[in-house]
Amino acid sequence: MRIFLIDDDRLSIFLTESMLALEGFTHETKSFLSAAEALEALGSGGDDAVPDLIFLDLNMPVMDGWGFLDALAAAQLNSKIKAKCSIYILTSSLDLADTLKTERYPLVSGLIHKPIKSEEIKFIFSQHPLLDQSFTQ
Amino acid sequence: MKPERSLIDFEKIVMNSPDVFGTIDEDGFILYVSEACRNVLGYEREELEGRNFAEFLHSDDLASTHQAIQEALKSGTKASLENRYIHRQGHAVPMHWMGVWSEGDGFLYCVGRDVTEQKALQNRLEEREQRYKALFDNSPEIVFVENREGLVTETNLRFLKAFGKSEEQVIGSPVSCFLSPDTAALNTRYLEQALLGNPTRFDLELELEGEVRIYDTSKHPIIVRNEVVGAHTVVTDITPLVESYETIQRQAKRLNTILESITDAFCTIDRDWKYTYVNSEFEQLTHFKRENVLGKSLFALYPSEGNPEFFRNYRQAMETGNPVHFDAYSPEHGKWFDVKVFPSKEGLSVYFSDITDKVKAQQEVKRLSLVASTTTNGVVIMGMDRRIEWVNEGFTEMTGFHLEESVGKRPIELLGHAQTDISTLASVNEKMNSGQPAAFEVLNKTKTGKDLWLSIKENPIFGEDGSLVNIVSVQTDITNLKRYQQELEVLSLVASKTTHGVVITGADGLTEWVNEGFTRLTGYSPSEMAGNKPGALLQGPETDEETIVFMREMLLKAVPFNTNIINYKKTGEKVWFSMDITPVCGDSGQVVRFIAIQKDITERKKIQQELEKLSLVASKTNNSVLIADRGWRIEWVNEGFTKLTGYTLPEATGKTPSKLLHHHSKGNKAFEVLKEKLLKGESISFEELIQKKTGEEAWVSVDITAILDEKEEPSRFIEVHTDITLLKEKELDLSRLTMDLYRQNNDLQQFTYIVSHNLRAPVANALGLANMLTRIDKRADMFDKSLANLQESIVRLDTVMKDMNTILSIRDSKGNLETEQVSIKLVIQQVVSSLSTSLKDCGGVVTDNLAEELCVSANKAYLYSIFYNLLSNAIKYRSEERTLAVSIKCFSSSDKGMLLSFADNGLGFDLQKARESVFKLYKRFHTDKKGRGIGLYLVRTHLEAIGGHVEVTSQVGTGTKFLIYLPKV
Repeated sequence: MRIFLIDDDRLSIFLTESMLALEGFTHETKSFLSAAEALEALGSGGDDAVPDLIFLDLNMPVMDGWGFLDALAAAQLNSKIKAKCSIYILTSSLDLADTLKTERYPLVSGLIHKPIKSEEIKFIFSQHPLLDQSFTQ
Repeated sequence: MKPERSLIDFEKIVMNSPDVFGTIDEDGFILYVSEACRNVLGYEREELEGRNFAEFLHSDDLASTHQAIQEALKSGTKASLENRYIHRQGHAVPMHWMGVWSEGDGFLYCVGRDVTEQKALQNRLEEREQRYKALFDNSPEIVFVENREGLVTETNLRFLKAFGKSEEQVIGSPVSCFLSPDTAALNTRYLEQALLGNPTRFDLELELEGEVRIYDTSKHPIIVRNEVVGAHTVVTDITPLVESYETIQRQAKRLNTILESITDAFCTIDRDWKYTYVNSEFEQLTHFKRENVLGKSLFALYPSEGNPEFFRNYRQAMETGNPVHFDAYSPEHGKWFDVKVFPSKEGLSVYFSDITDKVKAQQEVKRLSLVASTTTNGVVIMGMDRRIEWVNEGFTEMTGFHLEESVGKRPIELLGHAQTDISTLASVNEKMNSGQPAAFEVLNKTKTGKDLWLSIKENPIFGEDGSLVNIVSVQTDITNLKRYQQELEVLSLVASKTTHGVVITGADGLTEWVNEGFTRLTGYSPSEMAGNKPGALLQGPETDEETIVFMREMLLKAVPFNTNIINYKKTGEKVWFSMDITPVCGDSGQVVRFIAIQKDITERKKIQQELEKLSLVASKTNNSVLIADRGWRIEWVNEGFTKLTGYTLPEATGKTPSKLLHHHSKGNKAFEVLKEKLLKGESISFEELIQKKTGEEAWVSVDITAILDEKEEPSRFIEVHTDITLLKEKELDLSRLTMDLYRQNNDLQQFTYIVSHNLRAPVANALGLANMLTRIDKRADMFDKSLANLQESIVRLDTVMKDMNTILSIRDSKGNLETEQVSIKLVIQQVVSSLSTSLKDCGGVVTDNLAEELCVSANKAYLYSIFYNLLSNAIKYRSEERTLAVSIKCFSSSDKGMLLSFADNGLGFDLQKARESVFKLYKRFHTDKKGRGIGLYLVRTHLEAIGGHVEVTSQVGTGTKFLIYLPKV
């Protein structure tokens, strides 16, 4: 079971990783400080390269969260991801426009406002039986 | 018993015999040879005796001769052989030898005979036989011999080849083995005939070598000693012959069909004047039956005295061998014939057709011509194709064209006038074709080119079969009539149809005639006017005295003139007339009458007067007013115009408004769009920018009204200008304000977004970390780490708050900034010195081409911030591959402002991707360098605060270049 964190903010990554750990997630988390790096990692490998869960920040330099989602479609990775992985947007933005915009991306399972809370982590895991198992074990 | 005598005789015989006698011993040596050897071999006896015979023998015959002699020796019987001796002169002599061996003497007696001639004869015989054999064998015809039993005894090679058999298979078999049952039976029947001694000949159809062909077969009996021993058969392929014959027959048949189907009657007559062929048309035309004609003589059918024309021509053709073509009347048939005769070796081929109708029609025409030639009218007889066949003298007199030059032409070719009405001719043609007479008038021209109006009556003439044969056209010259008519028309058109009034007076000024127009205009009828002076009835109190005097003078001078005058209608109504008066002179030059044409210009006069009143009003108004004629030349402008534009009345008069007020523009679009409306008489309004005499521009609202004349066409334009420059400026201010508001609103939206993202990011972190800290053991590493991160989050929050403060202060500062003259160079020097440590670390160099005295009026702190941010960015995003080089240049400098470039050789960025957000707050284009994304935002906002702006170009891996515009005012 793997989780990708895509966020240019080191502090935010620290916080999310810590929260996951506190909720008992012991498996691998991989963090990317830019969307481009994450895109490369997803595109390069086979199905193994795709994690089970991605937390995606929106406000990033060069390629922002939306740019990343567009790039996935452009690289024809959508179906590969859809089959295995859920993407959650994790943003500090409270802008309603961002929430509405997620509806245009079917790949996105939900939008979470930073900081992520225990209940939210628990909810996400409950939506993903595999992940849930990996916790209970 | 007379032995001696016989001995003597013998010796003589030997001596004189042409044969060679001789004896040779058993070894072949010649012991004796008779005298004949000289004749036969060319040797003397002495030359041969004692020599061996073999020396003289042909080498090829040595062996056979020796063998024959040996046999003779052994057997002791007579031996006979043939061999060849070599003549003294070298040629071989064939000889036949008889020899006998005498045991007692031990000699061989022999007699030899020269057989050269026999040999030659024999060779010739053999050769002949070979030749015949070859002829027989190689004959292209199939040849075979059958015996009485019907068996084949001999065949040639062609036979074997044709039937594909070998000689062994054929000889001794009946021919019927190789033939089909039918042909075999045929062959047998004819063979029987031949065996009876009768030569026979018949056609045989054989399939040989895979092809059915026809063979001419002849059988001859072979008679030996008066007895038929067999039959000799020759089979010849005659297929091509048969085919040619069939072809000829076919063609003959086809020819017959053609001759039967032609519409001419046709017959052939042989050299004895007998009919050999007639076609069906012949039968129809002559009512002779074919069987009654063929083989009969021409003279038997037609008595020669009755048809001299025919016989003369037939004879001529027969004698000269040249074809003859003639028309002649046949009293037998009561018909006219068109006859063509073609002579040939066999006799005559005669084609003829019935032309009775045509001839009759021609005769009719001739009779008609006779009548027509006596009339003075033009008479033309045309064929149905409208080609002239005959014209009379009347025609020649009228048109100038003689009979000879007219025949064969169409009338239009001779008389066609540029204005000839072709459509009339077409309708006439239609009538002719439908058999109706037609009458029409047409403008033609004579041979000399003069106009010739003809009244024409055309009548169709029909043949007996009801078809149109001729057209007879009778023509009358109506040129003069037409001329009068036209003149009349013109006159009446001018005089009566015109809406103007026309008055004709005598030289004494008394009215002779007025037209309807006059009555309509004045109310006076012709009878009321007759005998009166027009002026006496029409002039009244307001009629200008001066005009009356002027008219009187002009009438006395007898020159044409025009004047405007007030007259009064019968009702007393006042009207303005424009008068055109023309004197008409007689032959001797004196005036005989005057023609006056009057036009009602009351309306025009009214408009004119109104205009004058209007001008009066207009001259007092503050608005600018101009009046232009129909060609848009200014006739009048008011004081308001001069006030607005600076042009006085004399300056403006004669010019067009567009040229006067739009020196630089190419036509006025607003006006062009509305022009149509204006020409229809509607008023139009639009706004436009005009240029005053001083060159200043002014916005005016323009109203144009057209004044229409009696024809509903514009005669004048009135243009009113209202100065709306102030209004327009306010409008522009308003739109600028709207733009400003729009931009600010945009900024505000962006600001909200920034706050939402960038201000909340550290808050969210802090919130999360603070929450987490409550769940972590204080002694764990995690706790310390989280605490440190919480601290950092709060520091960041502070930074963003400070940024906000900076930004908001810049925004607030707009419009009330302290400005001073700042030297760009000095500011840049300060920036470089404050960043000197970083520059030194990377070895970067900053160069500029700025003069120290190059100054702008700006806020110094802002200017410092602009260049500080640019330079610190250049240092931060330098390329590791090369030493940083920054170049600052001034491109152009004027009173209004200056253009600077700030270029580095650093990393650069993808302009395509970043274009939208380069100068936006918290936008960053590098992930591997730290930064807040506020530097370029500050550059832009600071620049805008002092009225400048900035643009950027960049290329990844090459560098970035900023173009900065700084205002001086």
